[in-house]
Amino acid sequence: MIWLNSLAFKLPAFVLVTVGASLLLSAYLIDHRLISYHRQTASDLIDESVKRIKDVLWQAETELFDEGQWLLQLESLQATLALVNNFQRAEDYQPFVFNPEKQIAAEQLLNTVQNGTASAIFLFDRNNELISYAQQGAHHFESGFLSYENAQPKLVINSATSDTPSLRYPQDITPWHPKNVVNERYYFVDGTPFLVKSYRNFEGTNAIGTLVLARKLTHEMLHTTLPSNVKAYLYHPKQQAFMAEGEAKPVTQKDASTRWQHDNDGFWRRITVGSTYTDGLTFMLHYPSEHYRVEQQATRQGVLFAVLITALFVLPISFWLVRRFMVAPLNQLMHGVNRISYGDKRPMTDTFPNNELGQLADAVNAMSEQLKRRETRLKRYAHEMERLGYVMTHHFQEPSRRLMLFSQQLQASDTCQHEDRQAADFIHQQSTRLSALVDGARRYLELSRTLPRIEPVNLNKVIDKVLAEPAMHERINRVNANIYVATLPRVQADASHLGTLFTLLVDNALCYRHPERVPFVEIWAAEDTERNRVYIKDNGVGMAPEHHQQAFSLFGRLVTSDHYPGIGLGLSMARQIMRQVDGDITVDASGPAGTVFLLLFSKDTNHESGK
Amino acid sequence: MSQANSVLLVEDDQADAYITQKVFRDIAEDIALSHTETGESALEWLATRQKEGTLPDLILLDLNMPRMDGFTFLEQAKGQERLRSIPVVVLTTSASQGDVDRAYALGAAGYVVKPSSIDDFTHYMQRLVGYWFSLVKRPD
Repeated sequence: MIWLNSLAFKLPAFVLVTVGASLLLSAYLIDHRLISYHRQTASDLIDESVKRIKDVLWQAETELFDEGQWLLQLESLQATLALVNNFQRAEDYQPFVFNPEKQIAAEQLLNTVQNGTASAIFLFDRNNELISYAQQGAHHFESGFLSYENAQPKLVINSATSDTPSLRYPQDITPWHPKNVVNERYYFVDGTPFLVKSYRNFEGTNAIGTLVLARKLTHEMLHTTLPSNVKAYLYHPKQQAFMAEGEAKPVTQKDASTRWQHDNDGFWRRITVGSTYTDGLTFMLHYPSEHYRVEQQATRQGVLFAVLITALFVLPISFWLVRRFMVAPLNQLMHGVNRISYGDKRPMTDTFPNNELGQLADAVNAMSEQLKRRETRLKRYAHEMERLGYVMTHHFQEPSRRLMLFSQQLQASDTCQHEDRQAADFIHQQSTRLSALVDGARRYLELSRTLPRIEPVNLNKVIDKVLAEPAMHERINRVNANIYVATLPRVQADASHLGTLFTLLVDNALCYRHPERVPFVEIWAAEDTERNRVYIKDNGVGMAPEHHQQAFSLFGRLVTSDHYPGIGLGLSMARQIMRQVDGDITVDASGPAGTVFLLLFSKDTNHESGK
Repeated sequence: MSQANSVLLVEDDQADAYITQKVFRDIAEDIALSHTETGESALEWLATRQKEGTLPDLILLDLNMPRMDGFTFLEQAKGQERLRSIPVVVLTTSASQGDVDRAYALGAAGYVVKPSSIDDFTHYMQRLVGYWFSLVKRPD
């Protein structure tokens, strides 16, 4: 899954995730904000409702006040009150004297009710006992007054019909005291309250009696007053519930403790509006959830639609921008760097954006130019070195060889004296060594110049061929050496170079054999996950650990040429052969019992090959 | 061996020319060994001998020579119709495989690395002369 780690995948994926997450987050925030907005809208509407309810109540009470002022100015009403108040004792009560006046007062009150001044009017004497009343029933108007028979109070109803009166008076009219009416909130009838305005007298003292004007606060009034989305429930103390057009909402603990609520049905607010002679009317205002849900749903759909439209445009555009300005230049850059790494040092001519990527491309081009210059210098240097190597190996070989030839001629001369012959011997010896060194340098340089032809090689076949060489066969037999070769693996290498390698190693074992031992060489292999390991063990003179590295240096010798022939070339060539195929040769172990060389062959087949 | 056999040695180094001439005197008195020191002089010498109708039967050619080296000489000699049939054996110090391959590619008939001992040199020359003047038939 290399492509998962590629920028070509990661960058667009990052954009996709980022833009997608941003849009979803925006949608969530807008939706969340939408709820707050509707909550605020509900709150504002309910606040507006409270204001309108207060206005309605204030206006109604104002009207009641004005109408009460007018009613109390009626002379007959004042006279009646004054008369009644003087004789309002049950035991002294004379119905034939007082009832006509009471009836007149009751009729006046009834007229007032009939012309819409108030829904109900109650007239009390100075002792706050009901004298007369008038009210608007469900289907009729009625009026009545208090009379006494044998000192027992009796309600005389003037205009009662056969219909069930909407007001039922108890036998004992004492509870009809205005204070009781107010305190007990008795002004509710069928869930509809009375607005009550009480006038104690004309001048503000309790000298004559009390006039109570009442008007129904109807649901129709509230309905026309309130905003269309707000519904008002009015608290009905006797039913212990909030009432609205026959619908009752029981009071919960939450209603009692919280002024503001939000549940699945919508937003609720409980308010108490003060009235002149009441403790106030308690309303529960409701902003139903279906109103804001419809709007919320519409807005949410709008937001989602906007998000989708945005996604349809933003995502492809973002994707295209990333591909166009990041991924594509990166791919171009990668292609150019790959091309440079494979030796094509031409500058990248692609058009890169004028940003960091463009700067990077310029830097890569500059690096490529530098590499090109250095490569040119290195090639020139390598050519010079090659020429120098040729000169060394060819031109130096000629004089050394001629020294050998002429020293031989001197050695063969009959006229040569003993000391001259000895000098000729030394000249021949040194020229021979010089010739060997120059020839070794030539072989080493030739090996360096030749790229290996890497292919699978059967090591056993290579070694068999080496050991079957007549010259090698002769050298082995000369020292009676025993050579044991185990089954070896196939390796990636140059078969010709490996032949040279094993020739060098076997020669090395034979050359540095122990003088008191029969030479024995053993070759075997081991394998690990990364490399093939081939061991070559001999029972020669061995070498000290501190000389292990020196043994592989070019012309490095650990012994004098007086004791052992050789110029110190074999192991350095062996290391060069192994390193050409990404392998190596090391001394695995060495001591008085001999030496074990370890050949490490890479299993990687991706070598630079001369094939 | 016929008295008519002749060899041209193209060798710039006086020491190698001396050794070669000495060995030839020892092993083949009947072979006329001529010597030129450069490639140019060898071509001139061959041109003269061509007019006289006495071209050599074999050319021993050193590679490393001033101005015109052995390869150039070989290339030019093999470019001439009459000289093309004369076998050229490279006699050089270089054991480079590159030089060997190039020499054969240019038409050399043999490639001998000069040995480091007089005995070996003598032995090589004996075999060389025996091969070219006794064993094989050469073009007319």
